[in-house]
Amino acid sequence: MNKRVGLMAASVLLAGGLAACGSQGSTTNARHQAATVNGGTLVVTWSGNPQTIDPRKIYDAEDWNIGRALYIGLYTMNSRFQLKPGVAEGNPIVSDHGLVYTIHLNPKATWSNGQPLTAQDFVYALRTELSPKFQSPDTYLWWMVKGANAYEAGKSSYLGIKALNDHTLQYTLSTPYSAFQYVLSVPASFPVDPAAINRVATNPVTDGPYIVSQWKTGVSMLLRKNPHYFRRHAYPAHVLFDFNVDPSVGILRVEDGQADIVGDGIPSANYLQLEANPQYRSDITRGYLPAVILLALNEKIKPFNNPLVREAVQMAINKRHLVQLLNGRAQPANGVLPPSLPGFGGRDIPNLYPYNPAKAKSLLKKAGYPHGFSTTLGLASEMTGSAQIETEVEADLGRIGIHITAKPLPTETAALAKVPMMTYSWYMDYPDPADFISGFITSPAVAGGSNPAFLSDPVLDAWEQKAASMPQGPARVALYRKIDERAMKDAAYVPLFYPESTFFHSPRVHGFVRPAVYFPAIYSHLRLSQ
Amino acid sequence: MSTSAEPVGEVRAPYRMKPGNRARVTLAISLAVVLAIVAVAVFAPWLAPHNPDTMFPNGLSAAGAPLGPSREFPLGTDQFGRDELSRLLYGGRPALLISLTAAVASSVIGLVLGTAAGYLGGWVDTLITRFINVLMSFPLTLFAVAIVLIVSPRLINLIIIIAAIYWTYTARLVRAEILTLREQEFTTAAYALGASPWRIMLRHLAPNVLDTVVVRTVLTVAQVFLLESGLSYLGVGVQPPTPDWGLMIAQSQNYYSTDPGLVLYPGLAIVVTVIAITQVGESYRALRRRH
Repeated sequence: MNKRVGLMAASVLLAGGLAACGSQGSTTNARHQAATVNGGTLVVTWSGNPQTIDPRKIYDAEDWNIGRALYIGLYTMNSRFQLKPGVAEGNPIVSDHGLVYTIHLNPKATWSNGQPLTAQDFVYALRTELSPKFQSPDTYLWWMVKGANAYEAGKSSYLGIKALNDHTLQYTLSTPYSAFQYVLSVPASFPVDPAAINRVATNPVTDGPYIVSQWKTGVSMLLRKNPHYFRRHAYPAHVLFDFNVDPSVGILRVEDGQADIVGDGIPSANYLQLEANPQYRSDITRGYLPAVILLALNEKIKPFNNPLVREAVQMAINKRHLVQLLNGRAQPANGVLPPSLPGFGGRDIPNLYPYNPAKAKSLLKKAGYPHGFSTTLGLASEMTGSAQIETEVEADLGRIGIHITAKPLPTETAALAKVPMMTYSWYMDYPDPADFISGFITSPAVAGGSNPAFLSDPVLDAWEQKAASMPQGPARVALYRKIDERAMKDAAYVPLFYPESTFFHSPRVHGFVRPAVYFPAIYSHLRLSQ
Repeated sequence: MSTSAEPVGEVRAPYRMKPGNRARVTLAISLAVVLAIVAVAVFAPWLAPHNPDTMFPNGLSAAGAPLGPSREFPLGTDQFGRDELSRLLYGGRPALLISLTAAVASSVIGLVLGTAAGYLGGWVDTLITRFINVLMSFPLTLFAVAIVLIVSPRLINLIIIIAAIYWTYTARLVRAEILTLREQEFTTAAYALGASPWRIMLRHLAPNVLDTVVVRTVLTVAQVFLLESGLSYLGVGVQPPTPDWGLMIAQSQNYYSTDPGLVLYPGLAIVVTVIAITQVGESYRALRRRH
């Protein structure tokens, strides 16, 4: 998941949810002691606007937030990356050497209009999502489903999904993939109601805790409880999203009691101010979520087609100082795979390119650029406002003679082939290294438009295919680390840091736990004080 | 009862400077301020204690917060660990360069086209006047923002765009004055003596509107200065990491409560500069009127 959001205005800092550290003073305790109610309106501010609420196209942070409030997939993931049945009745029955997943649906599952939810609804959703005309940004998630590539290219009508009956769904994979069940928890796997497809992008029939009550484009969206939701009922009666609210203004609104959660995270200036105030310490949540922020150096464009130039850039960036600019709310990165991924034990791969501007300069000289050169740095839209990254990169590269003109990119994919270097990020969709590797740094990802460095290495591709089909365990993790190291030796991606998330919420919000993937919280689980 | 009246102290009227003297003093003070600001901008490389773009490893606290004033950083550091004083000294350069260049360019264009429209009349006047009316019907700042977004916010582009907008104000003033001057006897005499229209415009009319143009130019400098700061504040003017007062405010505005100086210093610099330039223009106009 590559998040295109204004959240990076909040300095790239991902959502967290662990209860804030630090002791709570008596004032704080008093602020949190009010009794909670089953109802009320939860108000969430966002600096951006949702691109879509059609789950088959959900991609950005706002969209994920809203999608998770409106829909429920076959499985849901909690803050410990544990899967729980959603529409599915239990775990899938895996057969044929891990290639066939048979899933029984909960017969109680219904749409918000009271109609039963069937296996055909999942089949319809996936077939339309992967159809060539639909142009979904989420197709990369389905690389393991049999026939997906040919179907997406319009070369075949076969796709490895079918409904055995109204309540039994079967997926067929092209290769065993031990993390497939996680794929069935992301918004791109949610069902849609074929009978109400004409309203799926505006006022959809949903199967989750909420339905859209009112949507003022560019202003706000009000959700109300889905009366036919078959799982645990939502606590807040309404969720109100206020769009186009600057995070700093959102914080003022939370302080003033006009809002409950600032969806974008906390900008640096506000973070220092809030952290210094003991009254707010328990209203801040911090934590790492698996994600990486990088620079992509386009191997197809001069001078980054020269490995020495790429290595020079790697050694020129002072990642520690960049982390300092981010108030320490990040960890310098050595590779693509975040150490916080399950199974990685918090350990990064070795740093192949320690900060050394003098060596970087000599590498440039060796590459034939003794006086440096001028180039363009594309600022991916999700990085807009992340002044720290832009400022650090400009200053560091300027020191070795690479002069940069920063240029905001309206969209990522359209600009990929033309921009010599750009900022980029990859946020976890589900907790498996394949999510980072296969959809991001492999040859198929070049065609998919999500590999902006155009890194294409047949050996890496072969290792990736092998690793993806291996059972979960240390051997698989070790192979993924090897893949990460190989990708770093190519030097096309400059990993900058693994971001930490910080969120600010009002004291009337209770049950704020860290979500597994990016967004402040699962809104239906929150309770509000009276 | 004594009939002799006690001597009553004379009530002296409070000292009031003569209007002419007041204008002279205002002009002197404001000109001194403007010259001082220009001098600081020009000599910033020698005056600034540090390179304004250098991010000092010791320029931030352990938590990544800007530092307060110290011996090494007299006005503290900004949120990137750069010396605030150095950035402030350099920060007037882009706005002054843009405003001075754009104002002079716009005045030259306005003088030429305004004189031509006023003296030649006919279709020339209609064409120029209509064009001026069309340009002036756009909201100025929004118009500038729209064009900058199309052509990219480079320094030269900003100067061209601003000059291309502001000449209209000068041209209208000049045209109005030329319309009066062309009916004067000296113009008629020059025409009767066989002077060509170019000669009449260059030698007889244009010099008579120079005072107006000078005042207008000075006031335009102040207006363009504000516009440039506004564009930089909105992110479509001078681009980072170049130090610029408007940009400095934009980048630091969220620190207004923890480090108010980061917003206050560049804000004050803009206010003082604009007031001083405006006062130069106004007091010069007042002086010329008296003559």
